[in-house]
Amino acid sequence: MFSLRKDLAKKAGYKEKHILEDEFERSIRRKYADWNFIEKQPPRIKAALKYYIETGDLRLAQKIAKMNIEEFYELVKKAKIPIVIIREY
Amino acid sequence: MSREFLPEDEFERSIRRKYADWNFIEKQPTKIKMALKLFIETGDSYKAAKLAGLTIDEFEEIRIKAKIPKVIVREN
Amino acid sequence: MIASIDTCFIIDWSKYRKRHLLEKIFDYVFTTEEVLNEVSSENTLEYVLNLMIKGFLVIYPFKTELSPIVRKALEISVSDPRIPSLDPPEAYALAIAYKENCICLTENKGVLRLVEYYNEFKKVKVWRSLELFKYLYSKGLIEDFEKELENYSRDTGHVFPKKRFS
Repeated sequence: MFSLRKDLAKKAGYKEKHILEDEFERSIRRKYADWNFIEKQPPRIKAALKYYIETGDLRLAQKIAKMNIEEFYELVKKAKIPIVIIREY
Repeated sequence: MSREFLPEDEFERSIRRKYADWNFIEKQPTKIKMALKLFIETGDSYKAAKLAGLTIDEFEEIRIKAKIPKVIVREN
Repeated sequence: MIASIDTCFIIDWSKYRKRHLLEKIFDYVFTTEEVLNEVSSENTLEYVLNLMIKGFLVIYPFKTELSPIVRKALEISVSDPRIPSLDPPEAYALAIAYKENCICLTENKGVLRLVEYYNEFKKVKVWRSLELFKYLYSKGLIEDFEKELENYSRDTGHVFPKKRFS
């Protein structure tokens, strides 16, 4: 998973490009997230949002939050966490 | 390319629209409301049930409560 | 051209100011009840409703045939740490695209990585919103590619940074 350390990720057969991609996406999510909003959330929601920021794994984050996907997706947007789609050039 | 509606379909839809209890429909939870509207427009209980997340039986009960008829056209 | 679509893609696309463009590219789009079960907001449901009325959004009629493919995808997602989580809605979208040789509309990283890492799924063409916009632009359905990405960003909270990974 993207939360693996780089050395473990490489051992697991993760492509270098994907490691860099994940790191870059994570940095964008961290940068633009509304941390004030996130810190004010109940523990479970806060944990889910932080998990999503770190991993980009919407499905697992949704399960942590115990919300349906559309509700959680709306929350991600309220928390100003962007959905990052990299354009390679 | 969108579905083409036959004159028969248009007629059946007009009957469903006319007799439906719109007060009842508007008061329903969002998914049920949308499913009833889908049924009114298409006459398709299968699709409507799927949209509502209901079995056909369960949807039929609500359809009857909403007074939406199932239209069978008898040709002269 | 036909496509399959998953929950998050339909939720996002329903918010886009030019969402009608989807109907300009595809003849129809397959979905499953797993996706329908997950949409709950008035806006998304209204959009789904309109597409179903037009016969554009179609519930896939051969779902039982997809079980082996869905199972395989979910097994891989669980056992391979390189593959992010997949749930049934996106697994079904992938399976439909595999079976019908159509486009899979999803932003789910799990699907994207699965297709990259596993030869048996390599034939599946996966489009994120970015690929969809590229296609719209190539067909002259949008005039200004960057402007539409900006519009989509504003409407859905997506960002499209440029990055080179050497």
